[in-house]
Amino acid sequence: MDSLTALTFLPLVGALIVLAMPAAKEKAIRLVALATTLVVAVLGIATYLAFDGASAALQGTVEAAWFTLPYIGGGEGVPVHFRLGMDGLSVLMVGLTAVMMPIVILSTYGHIHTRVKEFFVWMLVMETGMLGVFLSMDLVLFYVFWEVSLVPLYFLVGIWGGANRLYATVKFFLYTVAGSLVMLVAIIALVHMTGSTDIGRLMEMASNTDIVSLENQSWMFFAFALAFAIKVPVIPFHTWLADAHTEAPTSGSVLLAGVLLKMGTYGLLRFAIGFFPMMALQNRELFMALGAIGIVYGALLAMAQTDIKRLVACSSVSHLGFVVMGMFALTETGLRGSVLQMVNHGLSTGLLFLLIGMIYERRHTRAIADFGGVALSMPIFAFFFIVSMLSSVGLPGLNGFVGEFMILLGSFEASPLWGTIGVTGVIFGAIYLLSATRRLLFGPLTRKENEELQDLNLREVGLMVPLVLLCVWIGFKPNDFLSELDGSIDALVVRIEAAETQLQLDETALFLDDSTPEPAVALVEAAQ
Amino acid sequence: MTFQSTQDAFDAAFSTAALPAVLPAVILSVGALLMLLIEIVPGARASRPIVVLATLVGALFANFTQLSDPAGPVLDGIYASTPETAIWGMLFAAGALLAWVYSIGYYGEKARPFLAEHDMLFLSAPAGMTLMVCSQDLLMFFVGLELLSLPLYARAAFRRERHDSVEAGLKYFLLGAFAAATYLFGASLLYLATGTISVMELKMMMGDTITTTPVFLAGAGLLVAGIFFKISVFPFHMWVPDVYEGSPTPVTTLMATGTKAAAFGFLIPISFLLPTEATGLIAAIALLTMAAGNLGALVQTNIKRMLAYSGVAHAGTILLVIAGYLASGRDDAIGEQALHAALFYLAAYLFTSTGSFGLLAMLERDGEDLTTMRGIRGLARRRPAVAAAMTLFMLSLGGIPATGGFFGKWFVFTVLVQEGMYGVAILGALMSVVALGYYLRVIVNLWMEPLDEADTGRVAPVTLPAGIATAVCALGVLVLGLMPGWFLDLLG
Amino acid sequence: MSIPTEHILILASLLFSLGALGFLLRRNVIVVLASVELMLNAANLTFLAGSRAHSTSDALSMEGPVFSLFVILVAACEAAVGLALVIAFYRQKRTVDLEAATELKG
Repeated sequence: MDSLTALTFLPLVGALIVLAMPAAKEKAIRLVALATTLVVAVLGIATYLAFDGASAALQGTVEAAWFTLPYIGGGEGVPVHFRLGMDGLSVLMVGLTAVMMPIVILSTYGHIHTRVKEFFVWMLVMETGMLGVFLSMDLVLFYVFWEVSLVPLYFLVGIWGGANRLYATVKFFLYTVAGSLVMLVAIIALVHMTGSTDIGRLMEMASNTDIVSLENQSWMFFAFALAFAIKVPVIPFHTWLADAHTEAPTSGSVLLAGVLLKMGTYGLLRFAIGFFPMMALQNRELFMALGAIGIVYGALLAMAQTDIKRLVACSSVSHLGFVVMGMFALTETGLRGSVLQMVNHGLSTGLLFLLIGMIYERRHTRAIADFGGVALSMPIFAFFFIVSMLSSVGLPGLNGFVGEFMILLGSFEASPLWGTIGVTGVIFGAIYLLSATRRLLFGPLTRKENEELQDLNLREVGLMVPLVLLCVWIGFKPNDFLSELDGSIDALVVRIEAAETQLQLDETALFLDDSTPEPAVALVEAAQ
Repeated sequence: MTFQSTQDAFDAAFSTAALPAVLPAVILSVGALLMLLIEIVPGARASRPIVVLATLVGALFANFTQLSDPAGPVLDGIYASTPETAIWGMLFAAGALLAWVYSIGYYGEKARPFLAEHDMLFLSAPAGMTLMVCSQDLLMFFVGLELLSLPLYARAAFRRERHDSVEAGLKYFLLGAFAAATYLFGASLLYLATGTISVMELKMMMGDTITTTPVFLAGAGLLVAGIFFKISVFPFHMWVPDVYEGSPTPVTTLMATGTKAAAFGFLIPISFLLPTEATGLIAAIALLTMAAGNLGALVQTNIKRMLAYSGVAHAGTILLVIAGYLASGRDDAIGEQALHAALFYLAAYLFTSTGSFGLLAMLERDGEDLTTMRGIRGLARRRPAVAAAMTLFMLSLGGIPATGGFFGKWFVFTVLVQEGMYGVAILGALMSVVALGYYLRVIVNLWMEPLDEADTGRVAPVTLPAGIATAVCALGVLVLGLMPGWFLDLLG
Repeated sequence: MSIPTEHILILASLLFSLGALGFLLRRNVIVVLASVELMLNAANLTFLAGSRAHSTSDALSMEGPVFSLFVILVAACEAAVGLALVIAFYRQKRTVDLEAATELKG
């Protein structure tokens, strides 16, 4: 079996094994789940290392006939394939997923004690869903993975979540599905117009005005963008996220922040921008504005929170605002920074959620006011918390700095206004995160419960070390990771530039009428 | 149709070539009659299950042989066997078989002596449905419709000691009689306008000035309205939840799946009778039906009733393909595509709906309140397999991928999108979000609500027949969702 | 002298409308059943009128009369099932008023 198929479906195999095991054997179930994710992690890292970042071509492609959509595409029907493949964007996301999963599984030793078997079945199904989303190179297959991956999280939050979990999980599901179904109509329309479901070929055909008229491109772009914007989430669709994060069990939050939200930004980049670069250019200001507003609004929301987990959830909205803004700057720096920031956000927010989970397991409260002086009783915890927080704030030398810097640089090229507003977000971010850290860790130990807190054990330290190392690595040598993107982003930038020229030509063409002198018409036509 | 002599007429009508085409309907009718005989032959009662199984499997097989080598129009063109009708026929036989399997052990001691009568329905109903989809004229459809409906009215009231059952039967009967009368008056007007009741001849007339006369249009409208009653389209959906709730659950299963499918199987091929100007009207009716069904379902606490409303919403979704067909200017290719989309959708719906009603029938046996949202709370803890199957069915009804419901939705929307009806498609898609609202509630209650500790041990074990039927339904849902090509290949 | 088809059509439409209104407005099940019969007979009348309109001197248009025979047949079957249901309903409620059908709601 080829490596990408194995990578995608290995977790599902693990899920089936767990399903067949008796529910009472909790230790064995945990071990099987851990072993599966570790093997997937090794496979994922191997795939990552084997990837040639300089090339724009899809790598490791797998293709097998699945079925044929009848009628559409001129009688013959459109063949739908089971098609996997990866480019620079996919490979980073796959690497992130593969590395995060064993850590998430390890973290559950602390907080999942009921219905253990079901939990790991859903966890492993979730991993297949996420990898499938990042690796699918067929539009139908992508959509299947995209929606299927909703179901496990729905259960993870709904069964193992907090007091208000049912509201949160149904809200999450319905919000996401509403967007997805609008996208489904656009997907069907796109497949109908182009007669293909191959994402690679669609990249060329979807933006070709001879195949898909500008008018159709416009509504399809918004249909795609809506689905992904809800998932990211872009303001004003962010309300589900705060609820889902707050109610989810630690492992669910880590997964949500670490990987699932990236499905939204990934989709925006690959489909909304990748398929319809002209529309992306036309709506650049709108999305940069949404991103910038998200940065500021998320930060302001975070400042107002008294629950530390909700605070981090709101900071997610702010950080993802950066990603969206950088992406829609549509400049090379912006795009690269934005992809890197997806990884960064996964690492640093994942770390923060892990840490919050650890302290919650000890104190069963998340109210910031209940803490203070924790650094005295838990120095190791304090160390990791500070590192994660600084990575999130964007301290130079850590990963967050590189991403945010590139995004701001890219955004300034495209729109100084929104770039400037984005910068304020960095300042806000520093304020609320530092202030929360101070209230949590420093000051006198005012409460007796906090004095008796046990510091982190070996397992807990062990599961954070790889993430912290990655944060530092990206902080010092970002090019080791950015180089994976060279080929893909270059190709995308070329397409965006072509789209820009096309748009300008269209605009000029509008001014041409019968009164235009012949040479001018000829000039424009030649250019076209 | 006119003939020189009675002999000519007889030869034209009854040739041996017709036998393979009508064989499924014949097998089912013979089985139904046998079932009535069993009642009066002493000692034959024990063979009841054998007759049911043999008949339904025989019909399944007879339809299967028509799949690769359909006989086409036979019996002087009033009956036709095509790959589509063969698939419909197989679905009807399979649906009846599954519903019958779920009925094993459903009824209490009181009903035992009447079970042969009850089982007869599960043979006469698919016979009627087969006639309905195979019919090529308005009379044949009517005969099929009544063959299906008359026994169904009586079976809805099968638990006659119960008030709700009798009320359901009466309401279903009144609704059906009104629908039949509307259909008939429509048919008679069409006949008055054109002089024919043959679908083929009517189709050839389309485009003539005759087809724009008020009599013709009124006839077409009433005919279609009569069928709309049968598929519980807005505003004719009002009593449907009552009927579904009050009828014995295995009978409800048959009403919800087969009846609807058979009516659509005839409605889509004859929707050419409607003028293309009706596109907007049909689309509006379809969307209103979806809204009425979904909003009605949203507030239900009884799952059976909720599924009844959800069935209304699904009928609305399928109705969209007719709007798409009319929008194409009644293009034959689009008409075929619309039929295939509905066929796929209803195949998936048959498995999901049979499975979910069947599971309710099984739970109901243990105590009626187990079919309410409260009653299934925490069921996953006690019966994980039942809860998992129910979850799968709910996701399929909601159209989540990897289940048959997803591709059903895909094909229906494809018809619309091809005609540029993006707005209608998006509205339809958003309706499914509302629908997911209540499907998710079932899942929430099954898995996420804590078990009510008071009723420990009340739930009896899963019976073998119900288990097998559920497995078949679940498999059907998954195969249609993961390997839709297998089904599409049957359609050629 | 024969009656014009239009007149029969008008009569049939009146019968049908009367039946439909009776079905929708009356609450007595027996009357409701009778209303359905009216609707069916409207169809029968139209079928026969159609047959007359489309028959020529050497060929009868037989579909109409045959259809109406089937309608009469089915009407009889419907009456049998319907009245049985009405009796079962009456046994429980001691009335044939549809207002009493209140078991199922919501």
